[in-house]
Amino acid sequence: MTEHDVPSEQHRTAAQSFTANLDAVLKVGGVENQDSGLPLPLAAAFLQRETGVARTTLRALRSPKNGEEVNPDLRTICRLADALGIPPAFLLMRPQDWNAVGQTLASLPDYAGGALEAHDELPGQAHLNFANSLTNVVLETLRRLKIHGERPPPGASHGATADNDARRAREEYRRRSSFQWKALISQEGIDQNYAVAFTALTAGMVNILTPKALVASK
Amino acid sequence: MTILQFSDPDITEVLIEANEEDIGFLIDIITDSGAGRISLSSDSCKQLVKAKVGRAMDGDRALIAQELTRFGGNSLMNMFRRGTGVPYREILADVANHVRVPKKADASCADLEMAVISKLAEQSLDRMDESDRMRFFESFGRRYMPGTAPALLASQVATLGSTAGTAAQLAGAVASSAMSHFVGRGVAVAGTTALSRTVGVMAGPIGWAITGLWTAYDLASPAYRVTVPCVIQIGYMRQKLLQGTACPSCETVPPPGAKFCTECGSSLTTKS
Repeated sequence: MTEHDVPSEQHRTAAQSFTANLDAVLKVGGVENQDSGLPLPLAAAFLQRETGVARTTLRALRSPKNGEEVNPDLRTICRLADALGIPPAFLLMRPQDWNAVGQTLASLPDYAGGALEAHDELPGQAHLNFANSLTNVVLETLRRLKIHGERPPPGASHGATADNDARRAREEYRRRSSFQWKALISQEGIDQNYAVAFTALTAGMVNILTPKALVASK
Repeated sequence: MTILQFSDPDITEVLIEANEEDIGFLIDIITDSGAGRISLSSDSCKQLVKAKVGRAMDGDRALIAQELTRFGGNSLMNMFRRGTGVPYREILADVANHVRVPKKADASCADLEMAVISKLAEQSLDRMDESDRMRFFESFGRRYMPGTAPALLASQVATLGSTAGTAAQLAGAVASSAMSHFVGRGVAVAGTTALSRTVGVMAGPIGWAITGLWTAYDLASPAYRVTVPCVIQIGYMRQKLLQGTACPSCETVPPPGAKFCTECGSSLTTKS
């Protein structure tokens, strides 16, 4: 087995989450119990008919053998997502991904305020067709929220201290990450009437996903 | 123009009794030293900056309370509460939760603030080397044994935070370190008091060394940039208020009921 055959941490958590998500959704996806009013599980036969995914495959995906990581192909994921009416990406969401979204939404007034200002200041950028642009409304939003553009505390050294290295690493992470997220939300088919909302959401995601490891420990 | 009234009893007395310097710190945090913040209207910003240059009247102090609760609301789903601010106690509970203070249902605001301050002191000590820790405890007149286990260290800090004679001193030291980071100047203390010794230890290189600590708390939400330092500063202001009046000549906070200053020996009973 080569180094790349070993399942990564990313794969492990995504596989576990996919299994848990699928199982949780199927458990409540069926009709209503006439007596109790509670949701019943979705019948496996129905899902097989709708998706063409075999029941044995489905069972293996929902409850993998001890410690095994499921690895469904993209077609299977999309078929299941389609039949369930849940976007494929959501079936793969891990708890930490939901938490990042939740944290962003909880602070939405701040992010939205920053995004509005950034878009107002950069009118040419109102539409997000700017993957090659040098200004980046996502990064600009973070700058306006005083998240980006960190400086050492007044009086402290600007030299190569652990804190300064960590600060520079955070700044660089945010810079790159902002461009990547911006590219993600700039694509064709995405309704740019919601550009400010997308900027707010992605600014929050960039901030929250900046690795904690980039905070100097000592 | 109607003058803004206080509406939150948990914060009113602290803000009304506070001296101009302490109010100035709160104003600088809320207005980012006058530069303004996204969630702060430019009118409020102007009024606060003006109050800092001149004198902060009650209406200005009430505005501080109002803006603080508005910022707190930004990380507490304010938009679903029809835009009104959340009570200070809720902001405090949110900050306490954010810095991982264990929940206590019936804690007073002062207790919760000191729990936050002690927690931060404990985490800063965690980042200090042994000689700095020793200097830290010496400034409280306590001894520090090198190699003390983290759990014991934490309980020693908690004791400093809950003992009448040292609580305000600890709060002042943490507040000063926080203000140096967020505002660029520390809490000014006169002379060679116990507080000034501790503040001295927490200022400069040691204060910078714990910069990463503030950063870690900042990252979660832009609102914490305002609420975390404000809670620390208000905690310190409340301690000064609670623990009796400081000695008029050296500003040491004596234990409750003391007739003479424990530091310089001045009489405390003649103070107006």
